[in-house]
Amino acid sequence: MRTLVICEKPDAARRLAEALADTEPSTHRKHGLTYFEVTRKDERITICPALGHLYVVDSKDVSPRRIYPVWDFSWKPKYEVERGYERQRGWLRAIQELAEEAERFINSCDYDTEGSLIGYMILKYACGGADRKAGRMRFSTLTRSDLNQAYVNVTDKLDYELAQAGMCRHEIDWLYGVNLSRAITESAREYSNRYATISTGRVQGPTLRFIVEREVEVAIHVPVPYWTIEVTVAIDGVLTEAEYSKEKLETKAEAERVVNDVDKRSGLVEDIQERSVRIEPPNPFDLTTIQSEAYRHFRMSPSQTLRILERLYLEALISYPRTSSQKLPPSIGYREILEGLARNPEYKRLSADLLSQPTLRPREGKKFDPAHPAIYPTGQLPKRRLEPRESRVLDLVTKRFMATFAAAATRQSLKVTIRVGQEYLFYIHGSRLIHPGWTRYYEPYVKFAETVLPKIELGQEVTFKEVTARERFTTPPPRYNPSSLLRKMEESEIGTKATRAEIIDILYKRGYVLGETIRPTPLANKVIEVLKKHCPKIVDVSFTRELEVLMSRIELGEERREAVVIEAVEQLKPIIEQLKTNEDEVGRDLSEAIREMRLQNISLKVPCPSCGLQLRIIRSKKTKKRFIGCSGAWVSGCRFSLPLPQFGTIKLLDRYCGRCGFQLVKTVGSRGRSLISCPKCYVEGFKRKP
Amino acid sequence: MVCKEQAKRDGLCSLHHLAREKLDNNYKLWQAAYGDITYERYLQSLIRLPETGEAAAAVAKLILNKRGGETDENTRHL
Repeated sequence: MRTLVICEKPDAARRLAEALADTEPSTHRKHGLTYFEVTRKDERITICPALGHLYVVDSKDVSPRRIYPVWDFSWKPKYEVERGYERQRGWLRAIQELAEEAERFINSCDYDTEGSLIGYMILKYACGGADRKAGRMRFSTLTRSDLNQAYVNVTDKLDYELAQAGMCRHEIDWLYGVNLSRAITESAREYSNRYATISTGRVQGPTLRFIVEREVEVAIHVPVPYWTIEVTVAIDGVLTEAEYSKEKLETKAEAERVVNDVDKRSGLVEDIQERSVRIEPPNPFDLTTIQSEAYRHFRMSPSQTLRILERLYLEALISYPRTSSQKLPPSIGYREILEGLARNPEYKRLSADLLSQPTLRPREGKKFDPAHPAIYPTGQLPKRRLEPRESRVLDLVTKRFMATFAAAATRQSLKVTIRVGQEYLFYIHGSRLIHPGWTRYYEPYVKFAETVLPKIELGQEVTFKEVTARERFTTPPPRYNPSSLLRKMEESEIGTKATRAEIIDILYKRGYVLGETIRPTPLANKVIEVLKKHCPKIVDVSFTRELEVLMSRIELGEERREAVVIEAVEQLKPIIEQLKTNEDEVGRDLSEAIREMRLQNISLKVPCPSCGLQLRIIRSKKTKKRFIGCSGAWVSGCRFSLPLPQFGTIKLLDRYCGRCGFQLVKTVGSRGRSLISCPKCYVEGFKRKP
Repeated sequence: MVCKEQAKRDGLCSLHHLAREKLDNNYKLWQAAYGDITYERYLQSLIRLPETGEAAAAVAKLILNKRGGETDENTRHL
């Protein structure tokens, strides 16, 4: 009997082949697809990889991309729909041929909605309807033992609910994305006769709205004054900081009164409170938490972190990362993992300490994911030298895992109350860690500030050396960064753990947002304004959340995919109709923003050295060559110009030449090679040549 | 005009109108904080503060300009 096993990625297929084979697996190639043949007892197994999704949603009939609305859709091979996937044609042909020789089928893609869908589609369309007789392997790590166990315990049918939920999400996202994006893109094109892709989507719209609304809060912020009292006291000649009992004083008069009444006077220690605070270990990592932590410590964007986590997972160094669980069940084998980690000299001592405990019980959080546990290290050693960023993320996962098994930390805090006269109370705070507990395992990712106070007794006199009132002003709420935006999306229950980071990336790619501290571009402001005006539902978080709830009910078997898609279409139809009716108005509003954006992309920030007017990237109508020219050419006849590379994509950087101060230009070639250059120095270099 | 957006109320776009409302509301808080502060002085202080939002600062400059209270380079173009 021959079994065909479908994996999600080539690396996963290789790992599975190595795990299942009695002897060395044999590698074969067919129509460009590398697959593996293994013998396991008397069974012959063919293991072939996918490359993520091989099938995607597209309009049922071939229709021009500019036509909308589009309601009829079907699943098609990705190579037919998207450019750059031609080699998948051969892959699908190879899978088809391999399927003809097989009698038993298994979906061994990652165990989540995407993995279930990838396998289901291949089995259904490329393997001649084998989805009806296929089984499912479920695993959370790509270790030999987990994979063998998953193969032995393979289910006798596919996880249809997960696959249906995945299908539904893709279909609804396609319907919303295509129709809304085409509606606004076409409106702008009709009005201005110029084409620019403007996209929005079911999750993208509300996410962009968060950013735009935060920017409004920042832009209209009117600071309000308040005062804090800053105090330095002397205790037995040792100077230390104290704080006034009222954190903020709302009037200048009150602040001045406190200073006048207290400065250079002495107070008496009225109370000393000492208490021990128990600090529990952190919860194990779910995807959102590790993305936040990696941003906090390494400034890695959520999508970068996810990419690294996926690489580590494919090398069987950590468990499946797309999880929302904060649970570590005993079945993962705590002791075996720690023993594995002990083989690494860096973790040897810490692991040994944990292993010496009579029982191992991790601290767990509330979040639960039925498909996978929290992210944990497998305890295996890397088989190659990891890149620095990969090492850092693996270290973070490992130390967090160990910390969850350690004892709570204990911190001793001291609060000294000083009274001046009848009216004024001041506090001095001290703190120190008396029992490090889990913090020892999680260093350097945890730090507690320690303040050691001199010896103080009740009734002791304290001299107020310096008392000042500091004028301060309220600050606007902070702009989002990729990590805080991801948390906001999770709190608002929009998107999924697997797609949120990607949505943030799309906002950058579409030119809607800029910078690490995220600021919306004028185009983003306009798109949100237009959507709020003509189809407020699309940027309404609660509407998106309701759809998410419906989709998650498909996973539980409580809702049918078809019903949810119909419901989503019913909601979308009037929105698209309204956009169509107001096409002119929408087009006018967006065209102006697009024009501004285009101008911004081609306008240099340094002025013309010759006349002081603005420099721009210009393309000659006659020669079709691009160059930097002065906008004063049409005003004062300024002829200043600088050459630019003629091949590749040009981007004006926010960086300036260290030699001449001119704005730097980045050129990215067709093979992705980039060149950063200074156009002015380039010309001067030429001039200097004899 | 403070920006290129279409004016909706009081010759201001919706963003700058929001800023204007906030300016007027918070003036009371400034009066309470300092005891006595003129509206012009309040606006001049806001323009100088880095915490003030761009739209709020632009409206403050516009009002000052209209009242002739400030005519420096930064406000002349408004």
